Amino acid sequence: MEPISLSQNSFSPGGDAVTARGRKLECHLLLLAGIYTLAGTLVLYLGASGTPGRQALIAGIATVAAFFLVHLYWKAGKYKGDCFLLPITAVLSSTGLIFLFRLNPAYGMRQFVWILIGLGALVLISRLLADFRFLGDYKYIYALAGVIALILPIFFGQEQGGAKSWLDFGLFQFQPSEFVKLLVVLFLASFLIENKAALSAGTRSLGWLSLPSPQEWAPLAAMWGISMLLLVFQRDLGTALIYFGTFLAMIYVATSRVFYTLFGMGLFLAGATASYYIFSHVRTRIEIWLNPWQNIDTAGYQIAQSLFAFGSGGMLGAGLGQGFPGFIPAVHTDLIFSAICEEMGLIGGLGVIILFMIFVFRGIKIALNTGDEFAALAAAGFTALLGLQTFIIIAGVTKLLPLTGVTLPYMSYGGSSLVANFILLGLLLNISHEAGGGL
Amino acid sequence: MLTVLLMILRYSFLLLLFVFIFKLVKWMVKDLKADRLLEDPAGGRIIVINSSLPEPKPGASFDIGKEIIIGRGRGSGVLIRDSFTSTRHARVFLKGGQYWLEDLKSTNGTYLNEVQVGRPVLLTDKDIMQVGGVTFQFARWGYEVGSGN
Repeated sequence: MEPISLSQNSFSPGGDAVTARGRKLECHLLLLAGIYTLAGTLVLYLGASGTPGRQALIAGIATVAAFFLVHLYWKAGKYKGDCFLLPITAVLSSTGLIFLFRLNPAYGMRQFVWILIGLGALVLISRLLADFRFLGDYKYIYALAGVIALILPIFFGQEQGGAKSWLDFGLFQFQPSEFVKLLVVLFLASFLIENKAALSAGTRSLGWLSLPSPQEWAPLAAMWGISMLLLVFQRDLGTALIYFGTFLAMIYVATSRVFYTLFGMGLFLAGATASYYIFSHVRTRIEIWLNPWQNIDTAGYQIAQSLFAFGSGGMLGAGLGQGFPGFIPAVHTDLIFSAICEEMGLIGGLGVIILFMIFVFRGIKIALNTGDEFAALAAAGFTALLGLQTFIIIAGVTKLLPLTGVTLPYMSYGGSSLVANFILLGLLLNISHEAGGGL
Repeated sequence: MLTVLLMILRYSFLLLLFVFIFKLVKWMVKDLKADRLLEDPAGGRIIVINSSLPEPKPGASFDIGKEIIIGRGRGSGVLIRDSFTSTRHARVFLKGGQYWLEDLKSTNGTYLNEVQVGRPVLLTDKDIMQVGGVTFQFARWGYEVGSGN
C-alpha cells in the first residue's frame, strides 16, 4: 500500500496531486477508447470501399482527437472534475457514431458535427459554470422557461413518430423537451432544498400521517401536472415517464420518505390505467407489448424486427457491418441498441449496459461526495435522469417494458439529445470539480 | 486476405470494448480503496463548552462519525431545544478525511470562530462553533493535520 500524504491538502480536499493522477487515468482511458474507435472505423473503412468508409475513418479519428483536446484543456486548467465520466462518454458516443456510419453515412456525418458541438458545450459549461451554485437561485425562471419550451411544439411543432415535440428551424430541428429535462432537475433540486424540512417532517398531521401544508407541495404538484398534461398532448410518453421517475427519485433523495415514492407510484398506476382507456395510442402500445406477433405487419413490426435482430445477433453478434439492422424502423435513433446487439451480440450489448451502469455509479458517488445539499440533489437528479432514460429505452427495445420513443443517451442519432446530455455531463463534472475530487 | 483481416478487426473491436471496461473497473476499484484509506484514520468529536440551556450541559461530547446533524428536530445527533435553533440547523460531516461544517439554511445562522458560515467550511482542531445558545469546540484525533493552525 502506498502511503497517502495528507498534509499537503489540508485546506482543499483532494489536492493537486490527486487531480493530476485523475487526469492521467483519464488520459490512459481515452487512449484505450481511441484504439477501440480506430478498430471500429477501420472495419468500416476496409469493409465498404469508397468515400463513406473514408468519411467514417476521418470522423472517428477526429472525434477521439476532440475528446483528447477537451482532456488537455482540463489538464492545463487544473480542472478537478471526475476522471472516469469523459472516457465512458467517449466510448459510448464513438460506438454510436460507428453504428450510424454503418447504418447511413449521412446520419453519421451529421452526428459527428453534433458530437463536436456537444463537446464545445461541455467545455463552455466546465469553464463558465464552474461555480454552478448560483443556478439554484432562479428556480421559477426554470419552471417558466420549461413550460414555454414545452408549450411551443404543441402549436408550432412537427410530428415525428407519433410524438409532436419537434420545432423546425429549417436548417435543423430542435426538440425542447430534451433540454427541459435539465431545467426540471435544477428546479426540483432548488425547490426541494428550500422546502425540504417541511416536506420531510410535515407540518400538519392526518391521523398517523404528517403532511406538509399546501404552500409547500402545491408548486410541486402544479409543475408536475403541467408537465404531464403537456406531454400527453405531445404524445411523448417516454419523456413523461422519465420526468416522473426523476421527480420521484429526487423527492425520495431529498426527504427519505418512502411514503412519497409509494404515493407517486400509486398516482402513476392510476394515470397509466386511465390513459390506457382514454388514449388509443397508449392502448396500441400496450397491446403491441403484450403480443407483437398479432400485428407483425403493422403496429408490431418495429418491436418484432428489433427482437429478430437480438435473436440473429446471438452471443458474439454477426460482426460489425455483417448484420441486417436496416429492417428495423427508427434504428438510427431509438432502436440503435438493437443494431448494436445484432452486430456485437449479447456480449457487446452487455458492454454498453455496463458502461451506463458505471456512469450511474460515478454519478451517485459524485452526489454522495459533495458537501453542498443543492449540488448533491442536482447530481442525484441528473444521474437518475440519465439512468432512467437508458433503462426505459433498453427495456423498450428488448420488450421488457412497452416501447416508448426516447433516445439512448450519447449513442442515438439526434442533436438535441446529444447536446443536452453533454450539458448534463458538464454539470455533473462541475459538481465533482467543486467537491474537489479529482478521482 | 482482406476478409481475414476484417474478421480479426471485428473481433478486436469487441475485445477492445471489454479491455476498456476492464481497465475502467480496475482503476475505479483502486480509487475506492484509496478513498477508504483516506477516511479510515479519521475521528472527531464536538464538545459543548458553553450552554444557555439545561441540555446539553457544558462538557457533553458527541462523536461525529461520518456525519452529525445539529438541530431541534428529532433526527438530530446533537439535540438543542432552543427557539433560536432550526429543526435541521447545521451539520458536521466527513469528506476526504476532513471534517466540514455546513449551515443547513438555518434561520439564525451558524458561527465558526464568531464568523457566520455561508458555504461548507473546513474544521480544524479547537475550532469554536456556535449554534443558537450553545457553543461547541471541535476536537480531532487520529493524525494531526495542519497542527498549529
